[in-house]
Amino acid sequence: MTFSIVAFEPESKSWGVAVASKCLAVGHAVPWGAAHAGAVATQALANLSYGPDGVALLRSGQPARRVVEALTRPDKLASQRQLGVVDAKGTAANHTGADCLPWAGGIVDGDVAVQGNILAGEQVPREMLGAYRASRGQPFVRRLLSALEAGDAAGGDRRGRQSSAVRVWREGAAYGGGLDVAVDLRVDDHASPIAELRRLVDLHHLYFVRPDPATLIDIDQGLTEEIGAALATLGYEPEKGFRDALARWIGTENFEERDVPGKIDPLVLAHLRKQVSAVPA
Amino acid sequence: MTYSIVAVDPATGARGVAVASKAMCVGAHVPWGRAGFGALATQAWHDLRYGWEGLALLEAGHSAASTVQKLTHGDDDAPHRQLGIVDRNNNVASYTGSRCMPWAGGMCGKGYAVQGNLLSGARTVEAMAARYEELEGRPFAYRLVQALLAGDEAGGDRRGRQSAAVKVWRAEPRHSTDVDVIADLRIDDAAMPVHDLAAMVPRLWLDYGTARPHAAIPLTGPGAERVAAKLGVAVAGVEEALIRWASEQNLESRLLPGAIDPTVLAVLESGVGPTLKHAAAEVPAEGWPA
Repeated sequence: MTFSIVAFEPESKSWGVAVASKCLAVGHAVPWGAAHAGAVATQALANLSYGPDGVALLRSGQPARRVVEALTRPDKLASQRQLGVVDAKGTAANHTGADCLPWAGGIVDGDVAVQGNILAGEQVPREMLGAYRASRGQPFVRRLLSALEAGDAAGGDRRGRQSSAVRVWREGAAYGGGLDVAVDLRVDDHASPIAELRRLVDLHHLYFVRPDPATLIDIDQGLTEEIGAALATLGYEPEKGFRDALARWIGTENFEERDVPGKIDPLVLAHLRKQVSAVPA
Repeated sequence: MTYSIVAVDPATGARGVAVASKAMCVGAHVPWGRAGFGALATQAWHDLRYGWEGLALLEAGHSAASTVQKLTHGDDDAPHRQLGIVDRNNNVASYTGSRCMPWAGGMCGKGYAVQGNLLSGARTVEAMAARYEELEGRPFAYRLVQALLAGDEAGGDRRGRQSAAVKVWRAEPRHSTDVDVIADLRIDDAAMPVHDLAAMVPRLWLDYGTARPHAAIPLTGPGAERVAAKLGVAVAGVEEALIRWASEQNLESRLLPGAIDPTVLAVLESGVGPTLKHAAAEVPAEGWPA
C-alpha cells in the first residue's frame, strides 16, 4: 500500500517521516512524531493508534525496538501491520507483519528505517536508503524527498501513485516558535504526488525560510523599472509609491519573511517574474 | 487571510472545520479538535498556541464563549486574532479582533460558526452560512466543503486562492484521542483549492466509508458465483480472494463477513471511476466514515 522513510538527522537534530502511497491522503494516517521523542510511520493495515501510542512511548524514553514490540505484541492483527520507528537517540527499528501484501519488507540502518508493502520489489527500500545516504549535506526535508523519489523510480507502490506527505519535527521550529513541527506538507490526490511534494517543499522554503543575506539583490534603476512595470501589470499602482506597492504585493504573496527594504530576494524576484509572465497580454 | 466554518453535525454529533486561504497549507495550522470535546479554527494573525490551549480549555469543560474569553484575555495581540469554536455541548462562538484586516467578521447559526478576514466582503461568510443551512440533512463533510465552496464563489479571500482543508472528529472518542479523525483532506497549494477539495469528497466516502450491512449481498449461491467470476477464482475461495482484492483497492473498511457491500460490488463490476462519478453526482446518504 505504501512506502516510507523514518529518520533522525543528527546535524539538524530533526526527526522526520516521508511517505507515498496509492491511497487517498496518506499524510493523514501514516506520519507521527515529536521533537526529542522520535517519529513513527504506521502503515499496511494501518493501526492509527500506533501513531499517538508510539509517540507516547518514545516520549517516555523507550528505544525504537521496544516501542515496536510494545505496539505489536498485544495486537491480534500485528501480522498485517507495518511500522517504522526512530527514537529520541536516533536509533531506528521497523516491523513488517508476515501477512502484509507482497512485496513487503524494509531495512534498518542506524538512524534510518525504510519500509513498504505492495511494492514493486525489495529494490524499493534499498534505493530509498541509498538516496538518503547519498544526499547528506542537503536540508533534511530534501533528503527525505530524495528517498521517496528513489523509491518511486525503483517501482514504488505496484498499484500506482496517488498521495504523499512529509513531516519534520525540530524543537521550536514552527511559525511563532510555539510548536515543534518544522515541515508538514501533503499531497492528498495527484497523478504525480512525489513531484508535486517536491514543488511544495520548494514553495515552503520560499515562504518560511529567511533569505540568505549574501544572495540579496540591490534594487537599482534597472530593477526599479522592471519591478515597477511588473507591479503595474499586477494592479499594484507603483506610480503612487513604489515601496508601498512592493510591500503590498509581498504581503499578498505572504513573503514577509523575505522582505528586505532596498533589496529583493532572488527567489521573490523569480516569483514576481513568473507571476507577470502568466498574466495574459 | 482566511475564511472558515466550524460546526457540529446534528445527525451524528461529529464536529469539524473547513477552511480556505490565500496562504500555503492552511490545513496544517487552522483546524484543531478533539473527539467528544470540540473543534476550533484559529486564524488571521493566528497563534498556534490558541490551538492547543483552546483544546485544553474545551477539554476542561469551558464553553465556546468562555474559551474565546480565556484565550483573548491578556493577549496583547487579541485584536489581530480570529477564532471559531464549537464546544462539547455544541454551543458555538465566533470572535473577530477589532484590528483584523478588512473585510473581517463572522456569524453564528444553530451548531455552526463562520468567520473570515481579508475577505472581499460580508457576502463570503453570509454565503457560507446560507449554503450550510440549505444543505441540512446532507452528509457532514460534504456540507462543510459545500459551505466553503459557496464562500469561494462569493468572493472568498480578496487576495486570491491557495489552499483549503476539511477535518472532522467523531462525536465521542473511540480510541486514543488523536486518531478519532474521520475526515482529513488538504489541498496545500493549488489554483482552485476549494474545487479540488470538493472533488476529493466522493473519494473520501469510497475509500474511508463504511459498509452498509443491510444492503449487502450474501456470499452464497448466485452472489458468490457472481463475485468469484469477477475475481477469477473458485467459489470456495471467494471470500479470501475478495479480502485480498479489497485490501489492494483500499476498500478494506467496507469488508463484511460472509457478504459483499454493494459499493464494493459496484467497484468490482464497473470500476472505481464510474463508482466515483456516480457518488459525485448523487452524494450518497449513507456509508460515510463514522
